Amino acid sequence: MNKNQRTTIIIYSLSAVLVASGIAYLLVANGEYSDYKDLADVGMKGNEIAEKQFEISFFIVAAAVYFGLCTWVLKSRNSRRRKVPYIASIAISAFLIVAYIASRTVGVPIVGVEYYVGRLDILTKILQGIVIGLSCVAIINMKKQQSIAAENRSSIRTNN
Amino acid sequence: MKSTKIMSNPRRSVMELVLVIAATTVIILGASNGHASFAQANPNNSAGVAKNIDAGISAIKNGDNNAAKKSLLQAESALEGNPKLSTAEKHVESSLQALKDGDTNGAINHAQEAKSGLSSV
Repeated sequence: MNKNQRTTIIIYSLSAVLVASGIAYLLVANGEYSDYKDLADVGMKGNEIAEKQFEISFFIVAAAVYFGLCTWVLKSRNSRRRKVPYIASIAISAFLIVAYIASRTVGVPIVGVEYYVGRLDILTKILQGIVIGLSCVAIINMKKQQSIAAENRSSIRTNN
Repeated sequence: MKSTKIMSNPRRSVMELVLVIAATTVIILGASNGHASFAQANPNNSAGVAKNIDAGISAIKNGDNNAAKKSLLQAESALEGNPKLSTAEKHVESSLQALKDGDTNGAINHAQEAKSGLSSV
């Protein structure tokens, strides 16, 4: 398998994982929405409802960001600045992992500290870890390709 | 006509303004603390919450997840707005999430944590 084929496989695998992350976040948002409805049925108002509304919005935005990243990764395959979507994927996934760890330990604004680690939470964190790993591999691969291309160019010049 | 009246008696209009601001402040503070003061002024509230949590735990043990959910939601609703019991509230919330995930052991553990959080305050 040559370097180009490997890069293509990485790009498509990363896109699939980005879409899976987006879907996972939509499922989390749906779960939060059902909680919100339950709380509203009990007649709850105030902080708890505001917290749920914030969480629903946050997870929907996170899902939209992951779908956007997937499109960006696929569209920038042949562009000059093709490393940027991978760097963005790493930064966003790392931020979401850190925010999750903070929410389970020291607490985050609006939501505070949460004590339960759900199945979907674990799934999203695994997917985000894979996104970070694949993005790093893709960037390293691109660097190698660039250095090989530069070597080829210099050898052609010396031969001429 | 009105403006000339106010202009003619500036002290009175200042006094009226101060009264309006004071009344507004009292209303806003009263509304924002109403929920918390309700929970704090009700010593029986904790006992009621504990009963709800107990009912939730026994419902989980009996496999009646709907009844457990109802009891725990009532407990969460009663705990809302009391900053002293926010840890207990979070444990009730976690218990509900565990119940939704089908993790009955987790749901019972969190409900018990919430109950112990009530007694420690």
